[in-house]
Amino acid sequence: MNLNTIPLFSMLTERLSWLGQRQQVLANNVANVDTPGFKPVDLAPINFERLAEDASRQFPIASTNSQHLVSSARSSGPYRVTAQNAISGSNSVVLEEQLMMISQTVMEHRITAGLYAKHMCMIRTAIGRT
Amino acid sequence: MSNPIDMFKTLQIAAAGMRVQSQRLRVIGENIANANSTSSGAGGDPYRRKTISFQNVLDNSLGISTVRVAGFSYDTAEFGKRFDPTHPSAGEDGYVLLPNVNALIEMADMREALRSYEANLSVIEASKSMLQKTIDLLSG
Repeated sequence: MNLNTIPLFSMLTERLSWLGQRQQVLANNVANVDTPGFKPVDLAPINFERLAEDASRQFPIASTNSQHLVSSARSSGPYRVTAQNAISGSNSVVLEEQLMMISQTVMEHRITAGLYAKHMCMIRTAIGRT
Repeated sequence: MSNPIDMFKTLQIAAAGMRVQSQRLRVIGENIANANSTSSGAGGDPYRRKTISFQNVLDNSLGISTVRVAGFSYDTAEFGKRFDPTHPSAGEDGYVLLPNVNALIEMADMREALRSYEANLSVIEASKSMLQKTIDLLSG
């Protein structure tokens, strides 16, 4: 039984994946806080309702969702990387903003992982095993 | 989910950030230690301030873009002068050349390196907690 055919689980898995990749991109921003000419980047937000619809139609996500790109230069995952608002010419990483986005990502991850665990619990109850 | 692999890469990115800040601190330490080093012979050049520069590269083997030291170079600013004909390093005109190191600038640089190092450390903490939460799903 593939849990990812259930739209809820595929949505949560997708979100966890997106959050993991966003953390990578933001970590790179922080690591480059002193590199001259570096422009901070971020991941484009994904429309998760559309992803859930796609999953329920049982199409493979990569081919129907236009927001997926394969192998972009700045990220190793399938999500689109966009530039943040930057001052041209010099290093424009604002450390406080990056750290705030990182803690935001951590909290969203916690929520999503908690939801996943909760629903797994419900399924286990439904099949008669606690 | 590809999630745990991304978390490990995040740890590597943050570790690279910490590494370059440590190297920067080493250069600052050299500069501060040699802030008063005049030349060994008469009339020669004293210690010249060293600088460090970073670059962001795409590491294809790991599949991530990290920061690394681009290279070390020298500050081309003018040396200071002090009139002291009795000094062993004094030139023919009686002036001793002093290193172009300003201790205040080095101290400010050091504080900035420390702040960046701590920022990378907090990124590692955040990634570790996300990884821990993902692993905890198994025990849920």
